[in-house]
Amino acid sequence: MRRTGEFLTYLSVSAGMALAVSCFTVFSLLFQSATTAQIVVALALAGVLCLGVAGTIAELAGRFPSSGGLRTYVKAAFGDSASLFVVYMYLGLVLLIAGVESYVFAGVVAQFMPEMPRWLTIIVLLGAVIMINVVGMELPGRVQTVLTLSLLIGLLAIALFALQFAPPSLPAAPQAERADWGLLPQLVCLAFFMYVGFEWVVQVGRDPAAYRRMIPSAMLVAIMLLGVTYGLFALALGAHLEPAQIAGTQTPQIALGGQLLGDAGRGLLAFMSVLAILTSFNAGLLGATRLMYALSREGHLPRWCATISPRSGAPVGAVLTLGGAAMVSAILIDRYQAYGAAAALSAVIVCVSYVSLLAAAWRLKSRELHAGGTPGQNRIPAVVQVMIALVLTGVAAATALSTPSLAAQCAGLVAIAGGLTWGSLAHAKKARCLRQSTI
Amino acid sequence: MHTAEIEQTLKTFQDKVNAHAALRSLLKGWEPTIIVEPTDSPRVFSLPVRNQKIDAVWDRRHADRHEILVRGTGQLLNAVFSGKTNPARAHLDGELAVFGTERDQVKLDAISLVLWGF
Repeated sequence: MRRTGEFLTYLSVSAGMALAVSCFTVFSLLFQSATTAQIVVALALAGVLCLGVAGTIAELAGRFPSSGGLRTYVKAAFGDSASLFVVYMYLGLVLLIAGVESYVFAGVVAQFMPEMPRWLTIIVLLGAVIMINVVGMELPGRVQTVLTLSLLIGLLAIALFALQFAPPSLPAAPQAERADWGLLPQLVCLAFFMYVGFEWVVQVGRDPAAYRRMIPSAMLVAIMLLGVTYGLFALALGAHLEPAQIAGTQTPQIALGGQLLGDAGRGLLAFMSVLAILTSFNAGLLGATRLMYALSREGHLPRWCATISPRSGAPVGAVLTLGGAAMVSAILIDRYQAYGAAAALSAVIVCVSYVSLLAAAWRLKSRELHAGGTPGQNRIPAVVQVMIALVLTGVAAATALSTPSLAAQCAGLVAIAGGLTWGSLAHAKKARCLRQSTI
Repeated sequence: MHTAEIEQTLKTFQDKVNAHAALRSLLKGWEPTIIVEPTDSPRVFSLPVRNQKIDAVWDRRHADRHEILVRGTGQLLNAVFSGKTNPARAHLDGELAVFGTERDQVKLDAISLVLWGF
């Protein structure tokens, strides 16, 4: 019983972190250029690739249980500079996701309180999140489990209900000839965005044994559950709403709820959107602040990022810095209506992060084999990892180069991450010299 | 690395923590048992935190509802608890494993930050 509870906790962290309110907006983006059938295929392909990534993360987590995650894995394989570069890209991803999440949440609120300015909703939401984290309040594990499982079961029930009562006038699967399969790489890349976060569970293992079976299994089950939920939800959307209707709103879930059950349905789906933000947003931002805190303690970020609250132990310096940056990101996304570009850019970063994890696992394994070692537990074949890495690289490149503006944004992000890496290394070196001269 | 050396290091760590006034507010309302487990030795140490102090250094595992498990080689644990190694860096290097909530991990790290200033 205790082990079942522990497994459900890991499952809820893995699935809950991925199932964010912005995932519904990604449905809108997908329906802008794809049919329901293409979307289901893209979701399935992204899910299968994520299973390979999850296997790799399980392998790395088994090697370095309860460590610094991405920072540790890439550092062990490729050294400090490469690791810092990827970590800064990942922090950029967190800021983009925080921005998109807040923007979409403001859209949900606007459905019920149209007079409330969106920027005000964003400030209230992020202000509340910053306050909660400064005070050091955390969602208890059991509450997180209950909320996530309720959300998953609720979404599955709504999707099945919608499919059961699909009107005959709208085909559940659109005509095949309308489909442009050349767009599949971009669709898969966007679909990746909907799974991101499943890997956060590797930070919360209670003991070394959890990293051997329970956490790897939880990640795999979470990805499969998410794939099924997203697939059925896409079918439900396609069965009840015209593609233009879905593509024309950032909150297609509310539109579906209204179509199914009127105002009660809109209210129900709005409630589920709040659940989605509760299970992912705060925990994601919290995890990122811990990463910033650790980077500061390493000497790679200014010392004030490692300021903590003596009472709660909350890393207030990192919370205020990251929360403030997230607020700016959200207001910019709202001001320029850039949620589509932000989601696409986030999806590219997700692919890059996953490729770096696959490459790190492959490198560490090769090094171990050259040293005469033998593969241990949870090891997946190197050839599978290389294949997945190649597919993800292709998907990311196809998406990044799909429009000149996205290519320019990706180049800008690479330049910023590169600049921060260079600055961090210089800062750490200076701090070391200062410390040595003091001694 | 002799485990006797780690035990002595942990006792010195206990004395330093208990004597440091600035750590009182950090330890207020925080009462876990810190389990220190060298990976190259069968011995385990428990440091219960009670009433804003490290209550004892026991040469055994003391089961508690609120535990933080710290694992690493004996040499590394000795260096971490004596202030010779930055625990955050050792953690990010994958050499020091800390099993506990994120709040617990930050609090534990903050103790070393206050004690040794890095």
